[in-house]
Amino acid sequence: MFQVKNLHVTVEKQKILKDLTQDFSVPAGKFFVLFGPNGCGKSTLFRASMGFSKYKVKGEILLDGKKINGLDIDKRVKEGLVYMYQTPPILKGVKFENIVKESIGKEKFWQEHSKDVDILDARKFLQRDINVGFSGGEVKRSELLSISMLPDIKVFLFDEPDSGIDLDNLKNIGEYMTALLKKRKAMGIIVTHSGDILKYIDAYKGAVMYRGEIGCVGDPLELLDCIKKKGYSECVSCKGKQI
Amino acid sequence: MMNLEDFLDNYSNLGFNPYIVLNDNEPLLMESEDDSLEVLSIENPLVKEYLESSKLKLQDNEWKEYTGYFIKCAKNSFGNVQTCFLTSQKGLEQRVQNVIVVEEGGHLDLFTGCLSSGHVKENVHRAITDIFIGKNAKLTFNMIHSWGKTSKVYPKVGVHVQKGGTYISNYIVWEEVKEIISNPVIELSDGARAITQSLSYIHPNSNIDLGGDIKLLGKASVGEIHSSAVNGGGSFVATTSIEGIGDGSKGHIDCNALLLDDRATVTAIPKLYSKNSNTQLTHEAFLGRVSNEEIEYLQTKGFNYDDAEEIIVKGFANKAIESMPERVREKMESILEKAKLGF
Repeated sequence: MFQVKNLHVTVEKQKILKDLTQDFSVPAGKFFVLFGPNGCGKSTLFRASMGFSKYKVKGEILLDGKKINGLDIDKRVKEGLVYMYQTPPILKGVKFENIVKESIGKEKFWQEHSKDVDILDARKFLQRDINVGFSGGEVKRSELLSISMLPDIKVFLFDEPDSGIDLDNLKNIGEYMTALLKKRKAMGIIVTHSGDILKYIDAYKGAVMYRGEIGCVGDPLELLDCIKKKGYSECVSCKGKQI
Repeated sequence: MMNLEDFLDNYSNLGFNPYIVLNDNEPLLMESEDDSLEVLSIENPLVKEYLESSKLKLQDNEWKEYTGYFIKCAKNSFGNVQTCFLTSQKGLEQRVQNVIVVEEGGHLDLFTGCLSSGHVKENVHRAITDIFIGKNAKLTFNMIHSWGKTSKVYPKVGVHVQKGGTYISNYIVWEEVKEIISNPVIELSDGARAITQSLSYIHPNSNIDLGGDIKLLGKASVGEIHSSAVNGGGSFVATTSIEGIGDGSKGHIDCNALLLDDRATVTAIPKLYSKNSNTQLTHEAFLGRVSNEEIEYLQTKGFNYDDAEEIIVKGFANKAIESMPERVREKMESILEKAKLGF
């Protein structure tokens, strides 16, 4: 469903991903978990896949077998790929309800998403400027609500949805993401450092990324255990032999 | 450009009474002498009598033919007035002299719209306006322009605010106009306060020069000048100045401008002058394109580039009018709702 082949990504003349080939596909409703230390290229993989302008790409990004390189970001969303930011920008003067109005419309939003609003406790921030003064939990819940409105999504990219949030939010967000994938019959790829969110999601497969390469692929809970015991570098060098 | 009916419906009509319209250089016909609110033609002898008895000095006016109004909100009274300047003849130079007086403890909300009829080309509007705000009085002056594409507009505004008084100016230019040059001079006495906020959309080949000078003469006087502009290809200049003279006075200038087109130019010239060590004056400015990061963020929510940019520009405009009165905000929001900005 989602894979990259011979992917090279350069950001401001710095090579971040070098000849990365990996199939991230997992069954609908399940998650592929991507581990890796800071700066190893996990977010770069996501942002390059979405088509952000700073990321210069060579190789292939394939969604359902279709090459999506070169498409504008919004066109990739229409193809079925969406990205949940770890740290989204603030949009002064733009309220969540403005986005609703300009996209699916208020009536449809309340008909189809009032339950999401309640689950994500979103009423508090619908009329505030997007991400301005939001708490860590509000940022994540706002992101989830906005991507839940997008139709025909096949692959959700979740960039550290468990960073900077408390335990209540962690449970709420993890369970919501799981329900979202099941409802939409879509798959997810999630980047996590702590792995705390794994208890709330159906983590099917995992991989460790290190210095722009995939070092180890296997059961995500076993990978996490290995990382906690031996660190990322050891996990990469073992190439999965100990899992 | 819209017609008069649309203008009144969409821009100007707030249901305030009185609603006075000044057409070309014709005298103001509708006068009212209420105990709390007086509206007279500027040429009414009662105006001269009042100004002399009150020792209020006006800016020089060398015109022979002109129109204009005199509005007085009486001591401790509250008033709402709508005014509209209209030009209906091609090439006409409308000359206006206005006087606004808010006496001690009074509170006046003024909403002004300006318009030229659809067929009118190359009209010029010149206005001299003197505003006197008494002790602990307040004037909120709201202006939404809708002059024609070829109109030129040159207001000269002088504002005098006495002890504890407040002057608030909310100035919006969104429709296309050839040129506006407006640099009001505001003098503040002890404890007086002035806040001027402007929001402009600069169309290609337009020249909008909106600035102002606030003189913090009195102790603990406070002045703020906030300029916001969305430049679609014209020239925008904000020459602003705050002079900190009174002890404990405070002043702030900011200018934010989005440039949407390579032809757009923005010049922000903030001047802060202090001759008292116990004053606090600040300024900040942002001039630049819409942030690519913000556009890409909205693209990840499914919007194409142009729609994303438009949402951000409207957000910028909404932010600029955030602290304006609700009625002004509602009018502006309805204008933005209908506006396809063309960028």
